[in-house]
Amino acid sequence: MKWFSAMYSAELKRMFTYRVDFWVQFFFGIAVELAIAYFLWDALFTIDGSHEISGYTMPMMMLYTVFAAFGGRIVRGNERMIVASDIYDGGLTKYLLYPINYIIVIFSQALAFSTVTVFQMALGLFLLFAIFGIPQEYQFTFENMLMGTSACLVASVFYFVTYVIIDYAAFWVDTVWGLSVMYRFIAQFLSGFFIPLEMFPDSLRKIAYFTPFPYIGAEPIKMFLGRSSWQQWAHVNVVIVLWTIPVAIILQIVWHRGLKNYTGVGI
Amino acid sequence: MTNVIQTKDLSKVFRVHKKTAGFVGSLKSLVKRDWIDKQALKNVSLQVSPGEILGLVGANGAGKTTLVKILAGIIHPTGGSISILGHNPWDRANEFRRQISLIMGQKAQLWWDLPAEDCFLLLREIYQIPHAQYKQNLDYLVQSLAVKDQLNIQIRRLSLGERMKMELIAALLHTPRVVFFDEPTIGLDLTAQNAIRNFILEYRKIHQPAMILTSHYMEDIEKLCPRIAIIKDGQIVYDGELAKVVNTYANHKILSLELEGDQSQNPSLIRDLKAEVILQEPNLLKLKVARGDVASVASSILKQMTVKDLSIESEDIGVIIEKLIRRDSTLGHPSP
Repeated sequence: MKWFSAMYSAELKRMFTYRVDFWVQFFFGIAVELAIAYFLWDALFTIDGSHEISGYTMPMMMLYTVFAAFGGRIVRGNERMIVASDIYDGGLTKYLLYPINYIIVIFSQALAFSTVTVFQMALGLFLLFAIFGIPQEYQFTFENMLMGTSACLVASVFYFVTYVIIDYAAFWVDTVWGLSVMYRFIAQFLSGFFIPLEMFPDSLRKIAYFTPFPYIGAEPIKMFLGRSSWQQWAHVNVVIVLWTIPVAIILQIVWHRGLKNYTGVGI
Repeated sequence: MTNVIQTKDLSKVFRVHKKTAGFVGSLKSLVKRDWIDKQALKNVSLQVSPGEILGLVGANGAGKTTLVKILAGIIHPTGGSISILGHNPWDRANEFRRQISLIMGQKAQLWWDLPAEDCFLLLREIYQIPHAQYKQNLDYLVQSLAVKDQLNIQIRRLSLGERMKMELIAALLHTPRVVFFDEPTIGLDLTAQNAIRNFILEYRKIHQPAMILTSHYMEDIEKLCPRIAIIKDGQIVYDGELAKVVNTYANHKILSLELEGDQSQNPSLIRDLKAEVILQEPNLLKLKVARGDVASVASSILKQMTVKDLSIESEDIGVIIEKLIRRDSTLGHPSP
């Protein structure tokens, strides 16, 4: 699998090629996300008049948003509908010619993106804590960071196989954009990337926990926030792995069926 | 010689969505869709031996590229059988993919954001080429195509000709035993076209791969392919030597004459010749003459006009092939 590391490093090289785009995407994306969250939560806390909402103070809510933003990026990787584009514009052709597994190629690219995000998160947290300080009720530990980051990386594998299945719909339908956006919205909502699951009604939260999504979002964020143990970490990872296996099997089946519909457009 | 590529009764049917034009048609397609079956290939049988270059010729949409895609394992055939180096391409076994290559003039395969050399290093890992062999192959290919100075430039910044040369290197680094070329010289200037043609011939001489080439440029076919297969509406209508196409199907010769003085002084002679005038200028005359009449026409011209130079050429191969493509019936093989 030497080619895997070669593909992985090629993707890193590609990402570093456009440095302006690299830094603008990183800082601008996070800055906008945090600014919107700040004004939203500030208004809600003011209207509510209380010190805490669903167990989160304003500084902790902002910290939740920060970890949701970075953790979400690690989990989601480079979900740019690459597979669907490759099917539509014929980019898949070259990977069918090479003696390698296409999906592993795409995974190596997603992993490269997630890896870079981990380093961006470290830099981002350092800057945020340096500028705004660390909330009093939060205790930053490297153990929490390790727990949260590793859970996010495991979750990224699950998220990868699910969004690739959605992209595979491109073998049959003319556009998958709507489907992809719908999936992303549902997945992020049920994962707690938009708002903490503690704010959901009990019934909806229970339903959410029947799906794998809280284990790729809310649970890793709890780890970052220091609200989880290693035992919970193990439980979360086992749940994700158990969800990933059947989805990966379905992915293979869909791939083989879909490939029969591939027309290799563009040549 | 054992055939490297063998197909028998290969067929491919595409299911295509049929949409009525206009806004109402678009609305209707939201509820109900009509589909039509398009037969892209029909009972295609052919063989290619090592060291042979087969030219696939046909109009747009005839099925040339579909055939190449099936042979390379990119798309699934609807029926028939294929064996390439003993493999079924659709199985896409790694052992098979390590021995083939497809060069597409209209589709870049290299990574646009990376310099060529990085792309080649990536391919070294993908094809697991031993270092010494990689270096030897790369040196040879880079030298043959004269692209040493462009190796460290991002692919997207290269000219079309330079990019095509890089694509060739990328496709041949692992020394494939079967090579498919899909319009390798499309859009290139004459110098680049010639460079690529010469390179293909030289590469063939050294490595003897089985090659299939599709091109709309007749010069590619004439210079590279001793054998051609003409494909029409998904069927092979001719499979044989290119030279035999000319001998069998060229009914006319072209007589080009450079005359002393103005030939328009003798219009009746020209009118009486059993020939079609293609070009008529004061000192030049170009005639299309039936093969059986060439000697008599040339002789009467030489008797009655002062001729400085005369040449007799075959009809343009492109014109002959175009005529063959337009004919409705299957042509069969020319007699040996």
